[in-house]
Amino acid sequence: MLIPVTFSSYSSSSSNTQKLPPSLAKISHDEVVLLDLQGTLEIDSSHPTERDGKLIGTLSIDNDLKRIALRIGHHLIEGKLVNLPKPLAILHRSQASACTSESQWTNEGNEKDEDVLMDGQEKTIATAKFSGAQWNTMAIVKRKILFSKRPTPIVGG
Amino acid sequence: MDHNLRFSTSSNTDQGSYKLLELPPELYKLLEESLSSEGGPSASSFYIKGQPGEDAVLCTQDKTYAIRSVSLSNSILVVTSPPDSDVSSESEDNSFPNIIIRDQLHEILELTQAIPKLHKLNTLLKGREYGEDEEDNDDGMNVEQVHDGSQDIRDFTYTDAQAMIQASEAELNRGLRERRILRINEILRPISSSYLNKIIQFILNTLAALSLDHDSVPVEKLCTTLADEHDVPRIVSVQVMGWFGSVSELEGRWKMEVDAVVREAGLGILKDAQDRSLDRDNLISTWKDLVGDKFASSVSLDLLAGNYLIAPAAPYSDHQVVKYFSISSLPVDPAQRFADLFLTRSKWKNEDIVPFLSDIAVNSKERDKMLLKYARATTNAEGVWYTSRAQYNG
Repeated sequence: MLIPVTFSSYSSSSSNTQKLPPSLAKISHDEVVLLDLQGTLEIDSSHPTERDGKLIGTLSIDNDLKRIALRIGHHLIEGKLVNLPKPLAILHRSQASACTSESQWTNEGNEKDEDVLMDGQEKTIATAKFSGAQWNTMAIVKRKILFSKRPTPIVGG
Repeated sequence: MDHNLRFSTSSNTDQGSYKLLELPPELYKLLEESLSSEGGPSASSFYIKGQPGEDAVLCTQDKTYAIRSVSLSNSILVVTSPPDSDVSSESEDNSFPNIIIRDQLHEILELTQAIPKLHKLNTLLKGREYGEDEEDNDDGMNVEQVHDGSQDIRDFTYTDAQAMIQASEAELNRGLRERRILRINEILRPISSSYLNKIIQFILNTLAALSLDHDSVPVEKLCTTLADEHDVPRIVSVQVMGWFGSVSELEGRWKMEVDAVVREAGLGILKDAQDRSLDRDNLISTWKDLVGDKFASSVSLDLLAGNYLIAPAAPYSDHQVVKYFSISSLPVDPAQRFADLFLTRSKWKNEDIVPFLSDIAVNSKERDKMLLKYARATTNAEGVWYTSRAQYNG
């Protein structure tokens, strides 16, 4: 079984994502940022789709990227920028057939998306052993925001 | 500046669609280069390869990496801006920009360079040797029909190998070359050793007879001679030339690699002798006769490293005997490899054992690690010796 991992170009692989707000875009990549939490976000929900689009908290960051904090409810966690020991590639799975529907969202990326699709088809025909899944590299990042401290309660807030 | 952190509106389907892949420095450099130069997809696409039951590997153009998943106690959130199409997450309570969590990850994928798993070729291609008897059938085009009639097993093609062998393109091609596997109409057929030896002889004889310069042999002339006088099909002779030198298609010239040809000739003698031991001096002289005066000076036992064992003919004897012992017949699992080696000999000199480890270690550092793990080293006046280290885990 062969699963292609493409590194063609950022914009074609993540056609439906916008650029991040400026202060976050400065961290490592302009479309994606990694937050490292000690722990997991646990959500009580009766149905997995219930949390869709729900607000979790507020991430504040100053222009110097020095003071970073995440406020969730009445808790505040301080974060800091850290360099990753080795660069990480963020891979995103896409079905080969899903490329077309995704590309309809943007007009500017269309030409590139078609190229990617054509390419994918050629490969499928050539080897005929693909599972259909394909991984695209959205970004390569070198820094992340690490929240390593314990949350502090906000009084009065 | 504040941002509203939200779940994605499709958090359920997004979940599991992201992975973090740790990039070794050389891979990162490669990617940076191909991204900055807007390189074509061929230069920058990798493949994850593996069949069910195998550990997946990542293959670049010329390297193979083992993929290991490392669990994290932290969770890493992949955060992006909301997609253009996403209107539902317009902020209702403040004017902060929205950012959304696409996925929560608890593992990263680590890559370590690995040995390509080419040994599978040996098993997959067993019983598909291409020998002398094929000559009559092979006029190039009708090969397929002939096979369909005579063989029940499906032909194993290059495309099959690409899909099934956990190796990069470059490593696969090198593996096919080293194993002397012919590609005939995309079907892979290992050449039989006796046939290959005959072809080598034919080539050496032809070079001598036509007094051609081995550094620049006209491909066309050699092919025609081989086909006319010895019935060697062109498709075979051209590939054999490729294995033992470099063919320049532009000029139609073949530059013979003397050592490679001499080595193959010597290997042929060893293989013919099978389990019998050959007297070292006899072997060298037979070998020199075989390759002819012109190349006799290249004959050296070193060329056969990894293919023979040498030992005194009798205790305290000055004569040494050489026996065929091929690295390709040994198991690929390191523990089993060492067990086999120490069954063959209880004691190995450093320089004797090293050739038999070359295909299971990525580099000399890893090889030394293996020696440390599976063997016990002792040093005396003659150098470093390795003996078996007791293994209690079977």
